[in-house]
Amino acid sequence: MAASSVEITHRGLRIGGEDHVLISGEIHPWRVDPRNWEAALDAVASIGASFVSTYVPWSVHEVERGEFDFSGSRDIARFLRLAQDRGLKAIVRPGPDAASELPDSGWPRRVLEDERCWARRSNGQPYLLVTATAHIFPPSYASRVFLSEVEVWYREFCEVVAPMQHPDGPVVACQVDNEIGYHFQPHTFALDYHPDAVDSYRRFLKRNYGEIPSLNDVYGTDYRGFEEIRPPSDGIDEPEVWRIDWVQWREVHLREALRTLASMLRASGMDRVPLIHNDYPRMATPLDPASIEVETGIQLAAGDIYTTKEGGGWLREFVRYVAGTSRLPVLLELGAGWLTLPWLFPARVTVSDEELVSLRALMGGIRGVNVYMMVERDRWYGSPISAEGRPRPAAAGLFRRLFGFLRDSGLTQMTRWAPVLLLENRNESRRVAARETLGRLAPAATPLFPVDRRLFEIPDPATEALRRWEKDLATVLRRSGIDYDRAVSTSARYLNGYEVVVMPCFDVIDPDLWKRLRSAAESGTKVVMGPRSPTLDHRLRGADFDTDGLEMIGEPEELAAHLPSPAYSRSSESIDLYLWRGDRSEILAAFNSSGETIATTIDFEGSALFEGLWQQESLKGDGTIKVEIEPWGARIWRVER
Amino acid sequence: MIAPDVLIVDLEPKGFALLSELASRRVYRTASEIHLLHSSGRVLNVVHTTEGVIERFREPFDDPASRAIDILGASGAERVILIDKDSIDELSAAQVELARRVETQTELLWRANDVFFTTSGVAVAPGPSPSSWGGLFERARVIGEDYWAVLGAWSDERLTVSLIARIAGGLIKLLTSADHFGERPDRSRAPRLIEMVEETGPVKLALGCDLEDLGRLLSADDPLAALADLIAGEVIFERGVAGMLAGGGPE
Repeated sequence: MAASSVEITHRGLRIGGEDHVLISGEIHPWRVDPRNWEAALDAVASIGASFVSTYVPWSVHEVERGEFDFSGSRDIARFLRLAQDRGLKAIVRPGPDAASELPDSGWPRRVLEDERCWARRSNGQPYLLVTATAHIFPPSYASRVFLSEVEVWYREFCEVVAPMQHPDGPVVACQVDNEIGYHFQPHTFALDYHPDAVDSYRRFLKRNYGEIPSLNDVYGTDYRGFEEIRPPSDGIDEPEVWRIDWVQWREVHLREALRTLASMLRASGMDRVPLIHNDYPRMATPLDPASIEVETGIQLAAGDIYTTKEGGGWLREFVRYVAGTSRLPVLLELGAGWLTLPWLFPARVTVSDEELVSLRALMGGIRGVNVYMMVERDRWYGSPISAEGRPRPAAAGLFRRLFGFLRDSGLTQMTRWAPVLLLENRNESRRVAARETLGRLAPAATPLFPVDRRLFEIPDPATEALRRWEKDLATVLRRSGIDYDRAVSTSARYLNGYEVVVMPCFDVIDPDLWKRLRSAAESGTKVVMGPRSPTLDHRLRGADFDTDGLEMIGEPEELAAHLPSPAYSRSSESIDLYLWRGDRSEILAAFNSSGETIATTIDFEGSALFEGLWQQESLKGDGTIKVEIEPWGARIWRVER
Repeated sequence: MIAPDVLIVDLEPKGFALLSELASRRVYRTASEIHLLHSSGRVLNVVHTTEGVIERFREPFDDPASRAIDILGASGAERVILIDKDSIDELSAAQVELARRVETQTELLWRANDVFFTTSGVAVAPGPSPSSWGGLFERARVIGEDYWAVLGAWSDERLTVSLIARIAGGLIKLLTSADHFGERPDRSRAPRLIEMVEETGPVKLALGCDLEDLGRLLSADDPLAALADLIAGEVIFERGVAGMLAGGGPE
């Protein structure tokens, strides 16, 4: 990579030595009349965004095979220059997946019609993806033919856009693909069985086992070479370790694909700005954002969120996951407005939803956002700015206020008090994923086939036990009023940054992870696990694990005894508190996670003044204040002691 | 019947949100059903859609069709679906074949249900009602080559929902609402909604009704039967709908 003047920090983007909070709005220029580009960009800037983000879809620019059009409404260079004229920095997203309610998701039709590119089911049939208004057989990210096509597109894209990288132009980051992850289909046995993917799987086994006798020893098989091994296709296939390896390969494959795409972009000239990626909101295999940042040459893997205020409970946990896994916890797509797909997603997002979702995300640990869609376009409605570039008073006013809050409140210079890290035990959750079935039908759930999703999993007491522990540990944390982060056990990087690390633990663990947990414990972090110490390594071989220095608990409720005391506590468990600390002051936020008005006390030591930062309010309390918060509502105060 | 390249222009946000909410009541209704996965009669899993995984009905069986009827009788569920895991390749192949054949996402989603229930590996009790939507799409084609369809719903005097579609070759090419035509006529001037659309092309399908009636229609088990009942009763306006339901062309 050439010398870069842009870097990702934990607080934002450092551009030419100056720190910038990511405050961005998504606009799709090819979907907006070019005569309105300037008005739209002016409106984006007037709301207070300092970045714009856009897809640059392959299918929009490749008008014939090998013929690319970057003129008129496709003139991305002109669009970027106009952004630069207004002082806006730019994030470009050349796909190859550019979803965004495009019928072809951004892949050219000729590629989608090339059988050599198709992602495959275990029976060799192509995988079917139902997109915004059409259905397609999407590509395999292992297909060499597909990847060589992408390489051509990236070269064309970079020829136009790479010269506009900072400091010569406004481009400060480039997103590699969009929400990679088996086309939104996480089912372990749904795809990808493309021949090139199967080759990759065999290479993965060879890397892990070295020689075939080692694998035979673990599998109880008598393969003569790795080329004889076929992937498992169902949750009943034995041995179990065969399926677990497949689950792990599916995680690795996504990172291999991203690494390949990142290398192509670098080789094509996109080599002076950070590469980034956005995951769809899922906290389980095959996704693992922290590993993307370590293994792929992509500097930032963050998340996307689309929800209403009623989704506050789920949002709360996903934000904790982004905060615990990403180098810079930002939302590269924060929904504003809604997609017009009544036949798939009846949407009811209001400005009030946008306010409460955005506030909860920011107070929960998110340090920057790209509002998607900031400017309206086809198949997307209710954005803060119309396609003609006119700000809509209510929505634009909200985001102007939110961005001002993010800039001026001092929040970005503070640290959120989250003393606990809750780990997903990826070794055990891979076993759960390896118990899925009916992969050849997925996505068989409605609306394609009227089958309950739970039929796609082979029931197992171990699955239930893990889920109960995952749920109950989170419940104990919430009841205690402790804010916490989430991360994936096998890729968690900052164990020592927490007072307490907690993880459900049953039978299986990766010895390297065990070593890291014990090392964290030796360094002073309290590591709490239960209900039992493992007896098998990640290949399901018997192993001894020394629990010295670890806190083993028999029931999730025992976690409470190991938690620190919060500086602020509340009387109602329906209220979530978030505390941010700076050098001289604190910001405290209280969110109602229920559909009812909640009256609660907030208790603390000493006396304090609570000045409303979002609401007009000034409260003074000696040891306690009383507040009433409307359904799903929020209060944010600067607290002066 | 929604074209892949459909344009959606000036769709009024509040009315659309309301329409979505009414439609979602039906989409997200959870029926009481039992879904059973088996391998040639050996039961692998049983899920009750409201109770979750259940331990009942796990005895092996020979005849899926009669077993579905037995479970229906014994469980009180509204529907019982048995899926033979050994036959899913047939279903998966049928899905791919269907995807190659149909043009639009809407048609795929709709016909996939028919494919599912007619696959040999699936036994169901009671059997699904014959699908009438597919026929409806065909009729939308024969009504005309290029025309408008207008839906309006009034709450008291106020036009609360308007959805206006340009249909060409049987496919919805444009979705919009009254705002696009510059006016939201109140109930006393309801026919104006048709008139102003008609200034830009023929309106061959139109339905105007109370918002409450529209809500009932969208959440009905059989929306087409409910639509027939609605237009047989009191509506604000109706054009071409009765003929379409009857299978004919424009009136």
